Amino acid sequence: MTVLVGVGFALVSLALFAALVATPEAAGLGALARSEIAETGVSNPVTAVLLDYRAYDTLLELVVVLLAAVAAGALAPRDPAPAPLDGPVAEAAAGLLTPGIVLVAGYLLWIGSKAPGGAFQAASLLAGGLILLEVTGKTPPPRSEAASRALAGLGVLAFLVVGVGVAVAAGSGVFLDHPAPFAGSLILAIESAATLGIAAGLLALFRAGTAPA
Amino acid sequence: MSPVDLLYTALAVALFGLGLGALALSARPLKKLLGANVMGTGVFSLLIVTARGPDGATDPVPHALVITGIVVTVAATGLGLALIRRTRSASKD
Repeated sequence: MTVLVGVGFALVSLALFAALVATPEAAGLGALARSEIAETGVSNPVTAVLLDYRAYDTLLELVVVLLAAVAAGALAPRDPAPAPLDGPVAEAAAGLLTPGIVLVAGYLLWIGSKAPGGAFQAASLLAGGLILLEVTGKTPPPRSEAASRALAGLGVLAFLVVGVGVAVAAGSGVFLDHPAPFAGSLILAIESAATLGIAAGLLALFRAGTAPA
Repeated sequence: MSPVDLLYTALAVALFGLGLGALALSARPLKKLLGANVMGTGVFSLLIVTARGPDGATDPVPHALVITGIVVTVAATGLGLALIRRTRSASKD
């Protein structure tokens, strides 16, 4: 029976592949994204899509991370916290790798405006560093689970403050419109807050599995 | 499609099919969650292949979708794991 169903899934995959190969190639939105890039304040087209053209999607995605952290935190009761990793390898990994991880995360955040990088890459890396500290028993800041959950809202907050603030200050009334002369600085400000927010959210998700020590 | 694009498309579809199979056939929640993750990886690979347009220039929109998707996947997986632990401790009582 299982073999039969497996063969069925293989056939579905084959049909999917055939359909994808038969689909005519389209030009996509690449040319349009590149021709308007001077207006966005950044020169990396992926960052331009995330923080300018489709800023709404990115705002709501930060809401998804916040909601996941809050929902996971609400799921009591917890298992007792496992014993922290110790020994020379864990010590060296946490002590030697974490400073480098934080440095590279900062670099990725900064370079995101002109080359591959940005808030998401930086936040994933930063969260990895924080979790490395967490499993080796060196509780990183924010120290409590509640604080890390609250900080997860930082990116959403920055997005809303900048979005509403600029719309009011510029008198345009257009939410999430970043006017060209300040767009680069506004995007870097939002991305910095989003990096800390996403990293805190991922740390809160990690902490949600265990009871506070 | 170039031969490289065909290879990547085939691998992406294979990942999707493997994940779908694990999701549908396994009774264990953890394996289902991993299956959904593998399916997602297949979709991300496919989006990266389609980002390469006919003229060889890269379309940034699918790349942005994949970055967004990866972070949403991590958040959803974390929530899924918390739910699995919760159901496990509830069924022990």
